[in-house]
Amino acid sequence: MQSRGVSFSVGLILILIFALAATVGPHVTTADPYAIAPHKAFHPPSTQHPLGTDELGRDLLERTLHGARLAFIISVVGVGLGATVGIGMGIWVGFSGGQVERLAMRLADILLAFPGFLLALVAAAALGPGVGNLMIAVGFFSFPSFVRVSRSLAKSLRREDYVAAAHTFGARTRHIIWRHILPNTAGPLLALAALRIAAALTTASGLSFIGLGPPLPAADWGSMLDMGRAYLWEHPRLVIVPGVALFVTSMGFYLLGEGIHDRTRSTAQE
Amino acid sequence: MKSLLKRTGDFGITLMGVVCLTFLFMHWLPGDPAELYAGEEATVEDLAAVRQRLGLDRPLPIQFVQYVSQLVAGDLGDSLRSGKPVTMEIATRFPLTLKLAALSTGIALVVAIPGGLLAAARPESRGAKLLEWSGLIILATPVYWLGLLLILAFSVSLRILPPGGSDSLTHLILPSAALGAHTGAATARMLKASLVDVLGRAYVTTAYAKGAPTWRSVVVHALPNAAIPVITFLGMETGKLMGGAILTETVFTLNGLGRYLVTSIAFRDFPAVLGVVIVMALGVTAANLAADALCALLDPKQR
Repeated sequence: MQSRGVSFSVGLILILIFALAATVGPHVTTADPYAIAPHKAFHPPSTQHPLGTDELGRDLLERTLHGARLAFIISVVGVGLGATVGIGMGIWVGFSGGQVERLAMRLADILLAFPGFLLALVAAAALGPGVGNLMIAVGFFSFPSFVRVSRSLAKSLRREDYVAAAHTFGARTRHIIWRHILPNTAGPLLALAALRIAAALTTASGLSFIGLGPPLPAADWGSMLDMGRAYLWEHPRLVIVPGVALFVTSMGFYLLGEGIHDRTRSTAQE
Repeated sequence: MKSLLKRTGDFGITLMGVVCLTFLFMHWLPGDPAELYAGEEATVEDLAAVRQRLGLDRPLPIQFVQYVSQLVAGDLGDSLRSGKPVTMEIATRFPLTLKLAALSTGIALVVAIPGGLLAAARPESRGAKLLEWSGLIILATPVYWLGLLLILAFSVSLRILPPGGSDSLTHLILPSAALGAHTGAATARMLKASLVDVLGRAYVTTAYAKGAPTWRSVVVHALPNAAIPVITFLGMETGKLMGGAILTETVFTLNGLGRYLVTSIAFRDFPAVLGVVIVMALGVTAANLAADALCALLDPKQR
């Protein structure tokens, strides 16, 4: 269908904008996101400050761009961590089976039954504030779903003829996993990763919204929203700008995930 | 029936896992609660006395066994902050969170059922496309930002609704809308997929062939069968609803379980944190079991 291609490309474009903002953005503007200038507090948008300044006179555009960098590190690297551990575990237990598999799946089920946000919240609270710890919390809340999906993929692929053929030719399990299983699970796993990143973005910023994120004065979207909501009545700009950035980014990953999902499904049907 | 019993057993094991995991995590919480509660001028002896009173001087396994045996008896320990039993603290805040969750689910269903029906009946129409995209937009919007935008629109600009702060019905409209929007969008998508699947089945075609009007084929024949996966899904959504409630209650300053959890973390009040997490996990479990039971009633194949 036509609309399917649309969600994939729109998602990709939004993510590219986000990636550019996170990498190049902070170098284009010259303002310091942490420079406090009380006499410039709540300045409206001007040529010097395209999006105006916040309650401490800091440049809002610069802070939002730095926020993109933090969001990128926390969500993409966090989910990457969770995916690496989860996929490794899932394929391994799906391939070896037996008691190990039953135990691992029980563990994954326990973690999946636990409300995701609560899981990340408990992990973030236990680890303490900080970018690295938030990343681990995000990884921790994403890895069970990767275990589940990659295990079922590995199990279904194990019965395929080409895997059986590789076995007959004397290929080792490790070789089969790297050369045959992983490449064939790439589509569904990429779709899952994109959807998990979208969830991680809102979860991580939600955690810093309630004070469990990187310590202040970090230019994190969640804590910017938390600080800005005190001025919601007079200066809604402080809540709208970081929120739009967050929304556009998570929308991009949602669309990309949906797009990949639809693509892999339609090739599977052909 | 047998499968329902098995599910109950599974949930029991899950709950035990939740208790173990949260207990361990709470003991990794940075900062010593004894130092926090003994005050600034506390001597080493004072600290030791506080630790003894809180039971923190005993080895972790013993603390855990003690906690679990109390838990079985329905005792969640005393809050470090107020000194009152955690069960009491939770009991005063639970009704508000329950009200919020129920209202949100209600709003979600009011949006999701007509939306899902329309999208499934005419999947290629403009209205269905519009619904699909607005659903995606809502799903990508963080619940607390949606809450802030609703306050901005209805309390700051239009001045027709209060921005939360109390548990009267008018105060709960905005928080429930913010919290329910997500569930509504997700449920509409689920219902549409389920309906499209069911509408292709032979008994619906038969109803058409016998001359039943379209709405009758959809509502009488397809909807009850399409509802089964949707009910299971709604049960699973309660987990997300609990997570969302934590943020929603913070945005709208509602004194429910979620906000209690957030402040308890800030005060290192770990019996309270542990208690709220267990109660929330219990609530999610109960909702999932209720959904399973309802599905078993609706689906003759499961009886």
